[in-house]
Amino acid sequence: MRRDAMRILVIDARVVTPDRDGGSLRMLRLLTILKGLGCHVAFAPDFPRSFPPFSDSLDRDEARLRDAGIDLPLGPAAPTVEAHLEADGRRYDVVLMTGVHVASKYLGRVRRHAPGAVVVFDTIDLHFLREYRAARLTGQVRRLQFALKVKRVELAVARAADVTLVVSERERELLGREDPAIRVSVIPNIHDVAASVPPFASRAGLLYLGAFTFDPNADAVTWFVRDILPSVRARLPGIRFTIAGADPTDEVKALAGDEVTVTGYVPDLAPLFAAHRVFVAPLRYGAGIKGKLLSSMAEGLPAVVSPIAVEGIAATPGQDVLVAGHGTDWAGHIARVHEDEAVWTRLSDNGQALVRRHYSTEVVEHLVVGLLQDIAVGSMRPAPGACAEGRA
Amino acid sequence: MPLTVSVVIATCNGERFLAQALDSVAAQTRPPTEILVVDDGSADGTRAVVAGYPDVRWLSQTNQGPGSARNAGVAASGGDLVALLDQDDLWEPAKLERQVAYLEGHAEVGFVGALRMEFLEPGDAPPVWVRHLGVEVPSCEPSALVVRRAVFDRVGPFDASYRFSSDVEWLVRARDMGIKDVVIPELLVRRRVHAGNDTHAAHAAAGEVRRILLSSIRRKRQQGRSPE
Repeated sequence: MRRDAMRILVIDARVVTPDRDGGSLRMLRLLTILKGLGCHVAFAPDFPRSFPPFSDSLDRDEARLRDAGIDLPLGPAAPTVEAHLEADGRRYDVVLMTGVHVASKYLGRVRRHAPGAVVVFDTIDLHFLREYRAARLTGQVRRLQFALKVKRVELAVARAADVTLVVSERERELLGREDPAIRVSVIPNIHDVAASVPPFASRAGLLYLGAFTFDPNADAVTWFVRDILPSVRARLPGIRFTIAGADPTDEVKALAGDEVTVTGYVPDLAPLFAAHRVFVAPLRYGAGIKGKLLSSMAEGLPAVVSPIAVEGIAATPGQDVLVAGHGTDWAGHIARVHEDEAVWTRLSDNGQALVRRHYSTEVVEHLVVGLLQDIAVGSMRPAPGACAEGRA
Repeated sequence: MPLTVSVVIATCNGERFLAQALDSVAAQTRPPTEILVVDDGSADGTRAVVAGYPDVRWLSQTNQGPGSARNAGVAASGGDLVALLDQDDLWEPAKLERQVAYLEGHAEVGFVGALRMEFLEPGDAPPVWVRHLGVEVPSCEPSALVVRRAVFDRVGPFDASYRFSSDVEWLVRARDMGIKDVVIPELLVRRRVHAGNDTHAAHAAAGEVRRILLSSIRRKRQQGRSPE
């Protein structure tokens, strides 16, 4: 290892599975960018042996990280994150922890065993926001109490970290309102656009993509099939709906029928994006930004989405994506994109342009360099007695 | 006693925008004591532009990068305070007045920044690295900085081995030494974004930024301080 290489330890819940979920895809691409910038990157999972259903592919998932040049330091000598921190924590210049559960568990140990390291808390999405929205949707008091507890912990970790990462300007603003003293940087999802997009005429049907280990996805497709799809069928008889993504729940599997296909895990998503005409993202709760929507836009597949699904994404409704505010809009929007080639082509082109402008590897590399610079420089302090927000 | 102020403008092939920068200095409500332009090996009409400003001192050197050019300007100047300006940026008329007054009233503060806003040169496409077009952002970038000469004496010059980020390296070094700075919360600088901005060379700049952060972390660790 070069002596001047910056040594970064990433602590995540489990070994990333970028072929199964958008959070993993963002993390793998972030690790790759850090590696490409000349950093030495080590990855230590809270659950080293992972857990079902992810443990089935652990060997392959670990190999993917090694192939990307990422070091996996846990092993017989240091089987856990804690053991590794005790043995080697002092080697690290930066420790990045993902998600409130992992970060709250390890923050104290990281400060103790990696003194002087810059501590970065990557929220992935603001968990308290997601939980709060789930509570509101279900009306469950226990979920609301849980959301408030998550919020307390998430804010405490953000305050204690040197820098907190969010995926959108919107969540940066939201966190800033909770506590202006928290140092927040935006590192969004990372997507590169497909070089070729099969034409309108060669496509048909609706597509959804989601990892069903994540609750909002099952809620979205069951709601869509039950409440929206009948009105879509009334306009477009015989239209097919494909529900793709790993680990569908029994409830999701039960949606399969003559015109609804539940694929389960799909190793290569490109053919699916290429074969369908409209991507739907009917999410009713969640937080952060939706990797599925950015993946669809990157592949040139136009999308009709809920306001929650597009939240935080720098898209202009009507221009880059169609947003269906209430149930009644869905069928009309979907029919428009599915039947009007001019509308389809405009959304396809604009979606790819948006991804290129805001979420491409090149753009996020700049953001990561800016993040490193911001960490080095520190906060900009306003002259006492006056107030200035933000940082350079 | 009022502090004297030297303006140091480092430039390389600056003929396109330099006159506008100099005009924004000339429009200051608190005029500086002296203005120096350090020509870092221009091959264009930079010298002719400067010749149109009889009060401006012109220094030249072979091309050695902005850090080296700024050092030459700081060394050749004599003011109690040094205000840096890049050839493509503009000052608001009250810039020096506000910042100098603050430093005159706060002996404990070593240097001050200001709010700056980026604007896109008409006709130029926005580069991918642009994040804050049209937004007021607190800044200690060179065009926003006014630094006490005594601080340069203590912190040292810009490290010219950094081709892209010698200003960032200096800022981090100064802060790591405990030099106190504040940002005047008033829009005083307009930063021009154009096709020729130096910061385009992302990968080379990234290597420098990584080096700066690493030096800072290890410096603080040796001092037994946790990073900010």
